[in-house]
Amino acid sequence: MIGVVGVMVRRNIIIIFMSIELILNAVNINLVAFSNQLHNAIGQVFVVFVIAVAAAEAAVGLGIILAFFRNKETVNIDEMNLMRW
Amino acid sequence: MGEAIAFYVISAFILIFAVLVVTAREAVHSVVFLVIDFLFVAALYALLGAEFLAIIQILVYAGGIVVLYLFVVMLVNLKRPPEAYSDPHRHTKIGFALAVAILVEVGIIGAKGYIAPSPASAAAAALPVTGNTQEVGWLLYTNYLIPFEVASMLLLVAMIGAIVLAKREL
Repeated sequence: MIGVVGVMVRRNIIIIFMSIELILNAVNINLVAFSNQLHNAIGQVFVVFVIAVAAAEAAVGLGIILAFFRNKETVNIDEMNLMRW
Repeated sequence: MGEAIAFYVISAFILIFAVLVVTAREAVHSVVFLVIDFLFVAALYALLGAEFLAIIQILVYAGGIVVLYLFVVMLVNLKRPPEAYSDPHRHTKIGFALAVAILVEVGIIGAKGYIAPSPASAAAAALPVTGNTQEVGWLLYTNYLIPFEVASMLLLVAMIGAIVLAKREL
């Protein structure tokens, strides 16, 4: 919920990425909690995959931010309208 | 009893620091709050009997991803903060309303979709308590071997992609 608010409200794209990490973390907590509740380790296996995907997403996303910043000198998503027609 | 108290305290800290991450003015402060938040999440994992994941959380999130964020925050040295620029078309209230709507929707799904534990899961509950490193590792390398390899391929592709994107010229 807080992560979703962060995605919707903030203008700094780096903070938006951090909010996405928060959302993924919330999912992980839920998976671990159910895994604990149902005495089933599969949930924890999935958490490992989610962490791997989150790491990949963070790396690529930050690479995109760097490339964009080099061209446009901004991290404000309101100014990111290159693809708008 | 003590476990419940610890759970609620850790959860409260997680929520407080999550709010701070979203509301902090400076991106660097946000990153620091994110580290503390991840450490509390790791503590919660340890409390829930997932020691392996607690270690992974500290290593990968607090140690790796957040350092990556810090590097980017410092590389992207802002002359004017993004929040100073105000866009007349920006609708903060709609953003909040959408977030609340999503929360309500998830709550409804959770309330309606709740199924009583089936006999199968009850049988699974009779098994000895899992959650240790050995169990997770066994599952990863037997039942979930192919997804595991796919995840490693995904990480390789992401690494190459990030290098290509962040390189000045090819």
